[in-house]
Amino acid sequence: MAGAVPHYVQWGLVSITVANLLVLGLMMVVFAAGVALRLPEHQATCGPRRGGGPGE
Amino acid sequence: MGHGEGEAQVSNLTGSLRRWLPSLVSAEDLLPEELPEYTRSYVYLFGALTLGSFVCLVASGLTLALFGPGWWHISAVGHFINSIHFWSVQCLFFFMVLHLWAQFSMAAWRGGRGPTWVVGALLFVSSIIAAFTGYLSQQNLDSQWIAVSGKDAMNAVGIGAFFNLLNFGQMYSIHIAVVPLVIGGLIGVHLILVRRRGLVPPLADDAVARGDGREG
Amino acid sequence: MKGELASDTRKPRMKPYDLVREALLALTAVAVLVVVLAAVFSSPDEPSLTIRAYAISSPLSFLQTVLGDLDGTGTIASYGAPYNNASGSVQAIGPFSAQRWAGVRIPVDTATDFVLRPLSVVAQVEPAVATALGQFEHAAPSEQAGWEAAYGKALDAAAKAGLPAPAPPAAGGPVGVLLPALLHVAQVGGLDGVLLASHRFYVTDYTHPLLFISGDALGAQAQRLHLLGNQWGMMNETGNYPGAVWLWLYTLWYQVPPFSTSPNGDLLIMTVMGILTVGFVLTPWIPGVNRLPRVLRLYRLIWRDWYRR
Repeated sequence: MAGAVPHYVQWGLVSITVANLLVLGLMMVVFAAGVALRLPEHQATCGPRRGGGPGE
Repeated sequence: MGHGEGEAQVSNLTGSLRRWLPSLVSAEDLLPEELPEYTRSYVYLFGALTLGSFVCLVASGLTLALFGPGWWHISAVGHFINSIHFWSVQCLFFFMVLHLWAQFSMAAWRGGRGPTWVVGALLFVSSIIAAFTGYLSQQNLDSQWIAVSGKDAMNAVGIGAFFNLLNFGQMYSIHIAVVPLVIGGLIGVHLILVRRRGLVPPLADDAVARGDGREG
Repeated sequence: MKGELASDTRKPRMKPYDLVREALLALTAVAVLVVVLAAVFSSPDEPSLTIRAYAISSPLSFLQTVLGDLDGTGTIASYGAPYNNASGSVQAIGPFSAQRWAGVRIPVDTATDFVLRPLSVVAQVEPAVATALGQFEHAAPSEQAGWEAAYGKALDAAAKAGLPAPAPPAAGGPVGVLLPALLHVAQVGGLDGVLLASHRFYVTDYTHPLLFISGDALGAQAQRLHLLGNQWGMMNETGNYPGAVWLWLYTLWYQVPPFSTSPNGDLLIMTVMGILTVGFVLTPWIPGVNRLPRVLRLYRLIWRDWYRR
């Protein structure tokens, strides 16, 4: 049962486990990436091109 | 039988339902093959990823239900399926919150999409109840602690006897039967509303908004 | 909202799109992700605490708990609704107490259910217990209280001396016989089943055994594992696993006064969270809040290609 004690970070009033902190950090990184990155022009939504693109 | 197609069958429930359904959302709107150019951002994927997480939860959850609540403690395969269920929960909330941040940033309730937001918010609350009853169904130390410490909050608002966290049978059956059906139904409504209204257009440029003087 | 919908002023170009394909791709991506996470990290499963394990590891704590169950000073004995008519844990905001109004719906008499009835089973086969039980149950309440107080003093002395239990013969008359007997029964695993059983054969309601270990027994484990309310515990999972991060706001209130110090803390927090939840659901119609997206201007990044044209 000794392994069940989590690693945690204490900062004033806030005490957060390392695992939770990682999840929070990842959420912000993924959200920022989602906003910043552009979807590839034809791949993600249209699938493999079969001789046609927008406007054709 | 024997009535013409053009006659309104006021008393015929079946006909009324058949006529009402397409008015809810047309087939073209439900399954479109094109979307406006402004939906070219990854943030539009967060909702689909949330839905994918839900599917994984149902699949792993059904497998766990098939073998009973004690299985995952005594079987390595069972523990693996439970792990899939555990990480699917993390993914569900991860992507759901990102989806929420995106929709809030876009003020996605505009243009009559308020009900879509409401259903989404109810989905968030329902998911919390699903997670809560799920934690209580684990039959381990975590469940024990969550039950005895959570009971004080439930008792404080007067529902502790009707929603008894210490009653494993009740919490388990709510988790595997009641909550999934409620969430599934809300998801259906949410998706129909999204498709019915279409994706919300961008907020108008401030310069354009000041210049055109028309109400949104 | 004025100028709210850009489509009023400009028609967007339409791009080809495969909804079903995107949904399947999203499903595949998540499925792969959760299978990999499950294979690499597994999931936590801390074994549940049995009454037997508790009685073996913490005999003095066990005896103090059952004495509190017997003399009515224990947390559950003095809890109040929905378990009994006491008021030790009944929460209210002024005159408003949904807890009190809901009433006693899950009757629990800790003296009978947790101590005397299990001992009556033991009494069938153990004459010393039968004698002590008879003596206790036929005594006047004041005499019972005297024995309980004497045994409580013996427990305190043992605690000060660092002993696991009062050395026999313990003070407290029949109480000094009954409670050590109960401890012994618990240590051989007899109490777990007895507390769960009822007049029915099939039982899925763990109210009694869970209430029995709801004090120091589970509390000590929770503190060790950072699961206590004042340790941000609602958000935490056992071991190094992510917990319920989405409960951050609910958890936060338990760290700050007046919520953290008030005996009505749970009710206050549930009320605040209830109001905020209603606000969350009705966001589109709340003035100020529904203007925040414009203030934050994140939408200008999300739709930057559209605005650039």
